[in-house]
Parts: sequence; C-alpha cells; structure tokens
Amino acid sequence: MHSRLGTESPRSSLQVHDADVEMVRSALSGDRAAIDRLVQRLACVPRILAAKNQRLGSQLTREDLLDLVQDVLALVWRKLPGYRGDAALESWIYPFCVLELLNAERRKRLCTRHFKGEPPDEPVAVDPPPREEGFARLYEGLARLSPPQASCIRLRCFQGAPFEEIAERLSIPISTAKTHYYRGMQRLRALLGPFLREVQ
Amino acid sequence: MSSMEREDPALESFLKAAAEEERATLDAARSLQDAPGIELVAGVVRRSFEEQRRRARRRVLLLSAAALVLALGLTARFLLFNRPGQSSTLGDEPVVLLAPVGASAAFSTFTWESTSAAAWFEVVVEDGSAAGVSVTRSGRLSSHTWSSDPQEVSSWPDRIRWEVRAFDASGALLGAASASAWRSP
Repeated sequence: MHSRLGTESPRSSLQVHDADVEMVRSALSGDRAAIDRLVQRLACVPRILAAKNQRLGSQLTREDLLDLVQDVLALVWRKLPGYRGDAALESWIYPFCVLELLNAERRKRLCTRHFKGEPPDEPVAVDPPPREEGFARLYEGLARLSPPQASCIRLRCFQGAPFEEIAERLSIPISTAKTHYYRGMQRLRALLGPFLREVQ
Repeated sequence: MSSMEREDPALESFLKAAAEEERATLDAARSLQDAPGIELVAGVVRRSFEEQRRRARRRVLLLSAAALVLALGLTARFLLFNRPGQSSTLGDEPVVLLAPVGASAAFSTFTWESTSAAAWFEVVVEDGSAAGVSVTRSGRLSSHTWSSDPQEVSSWPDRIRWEVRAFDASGALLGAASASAWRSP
C-alpha cells in the first residue's frame, strides 16, 4: 500500500501515481483545490530534509534548513512540469532534497575550512560517508539518462516491478522495457564506474 | 542473453542500497510531526504559482503586442500598396501604376513607373465590371505615359481595369501590373 509520504511499496501502485500526475497538472494550470493538495504534499520537502540531515549527523542547523527548504521548493516547482508519475511525488522529490542537502553541507564545510584557514581538500570528520556521495552520484546519473531508461531502472530497482508491469506502466512492449533497462544500466555503469568500485 | 543484458551485481546491489536508504529516509520523514520550514511551504508554493502566472500573463501580453504590431504593419502595407483596385505586380521586374487608380476625375492619361530595363510597354484596358471584356489597347509605348483619345474615353464604362505590360527588346514579357479605376461622381 502506498503511503502519503511516498514510501514505495515493492510493487508500484499505478493509480496513485496517475492521481499524483493529475493533481500536479491541475495545480500548475491554476486549480485552487489542486494547489491546496499540492501544498500539503510538498510539506514532505522540509520533512525529508530534516530526516536526511538527522541521518547524516545533523550537520546543518535549523537556519540552514530553513534556507534549504526554500531553495528546494523553488527547484521542485521549476521541475514539476517534468513529473511523469513513474514514482510517487515524494519519491520523485527525494533526489532533489538529497542533492541539495549534500551541496549545502559541502558549501558549509568549505566555508568552515576557509574561516579556519584549513586547506580545502583536507579530509575532516564531518565529510559525508562515501556511500551517501555515491547515492548522490547515482541520482545525478539517473537524471542524465533518457526518461524511459531512468523510468525502467527506477521501477525495477526501486520498486521491484517486473518487466511486465514496467511495460504496462510505460505502455511499451516488454522487449522495449528490457532494452531501456539494460541500456540505462550500461550507461549508469559508465557514469559511476570508478566511483562504484570505490564505495563497494 | 545479449552482451548488453549481462547482469551487474555490483551496480544492482548499489541501486538496491540506494532504494533502501530512500525508503528509510522517507519513513523517517513521515514520522516527523514537525520540521524546520514546514510553515514556509504554502507561502513559497503560492508565491511561485503567482510568479508563474505573472510570467505567463507577460508572455501573453508580449505575444498580443507582437501580433498587434504585425497586424498594424500588414494593414499599413495593404493600405499603401493594395489601394482599391491596385493589384500586385507580376514577374520579377515591378511596374508601379500611378494614375488613374481608384476614384478618378478622368481616364485620359495613364502613367506608371518601371524600375526594369524594359524596352517598351503596352497598356490594356478592360471593362472593370465585366471581367475579360476588352475596351482598348495602346500598342507599343516607349514612355511611361499614354493618353487615350478623349472621344473614345467618353464611351468607356465608368469602371475600368487597366494593365501595363513591360517587354524587353526581344518581346519577352518582363512584368506587368494592373489596377482598377472608376469615374468619381
């Protein structure tokens, strides 16, 4: 069962995501009720940022998070027309939150080092674990794939959907879904290659 | 299985780990009752929406202004170059008809301009109310003006359509232009 904060169940729930797409479209075209619903759903942004910040050792202060919330919301708003419903809205928003949070942490570390007079590339204890940087690279890599490739990989690896369901979801033949998936994985491997070996 | 379809356990397990981290974070986020900035969401979204609407309105206004300028330009061009009765020129070399065009006091003298290296011209006059009914024709003219016989003109219909054809020395048609004219009351 799909929850409101976008925990993806192993099998994607087609209807819920289509409803998300419809809500986003209506909101963008000015439907007041849809905008209200979207506001409620976008409350996931501060929650995801706060939760992720906690999981990464609370490097960012409350004030940092307040700034970040506004930046991420503006970014999400700009990207919303591209939401296709391959994942629940919250799961689609999650990568933006992670990437922006890691960027904010990076900026803060550089700032701290600058004021302490430390060389910028000297490792310090507060650097995020390489696994987190790897996940960020993974999301950046997924964003660089063609939309069908990224959708097939997300549906298969993040939601555990079999190729039959992916094909149905994307209205394409099963063989095409497989081609998109394997080509996407090949490209992702090339994009992540050396970094992937490092974090393993 | 083709070479492209080879499994990549390392990449797949990394993707799985990313998916688990995503699920865990989203679960943790869902359990938070409050979070810094939650009170900002409605304001930011509504501001973004209003800004988007303003931009769209500005775009519509700009497009409307551009369309209006284009329409005005086309109307001005029509009024300047397609006055009642005047037709566009034919051929590569333009012939511009000067008089009589539109409401005219007399049909006695026909004048035109030509930028072409035309060797000679011919004026053809037709009944303006009955297409294809010939009234008269001038014969070869070397100047840019032609005067018809005043007695003959008095028998012409009140509305005429006249055409000037430009020819080169070999007799090939270089271009032509036609216009309508009618006797002013």
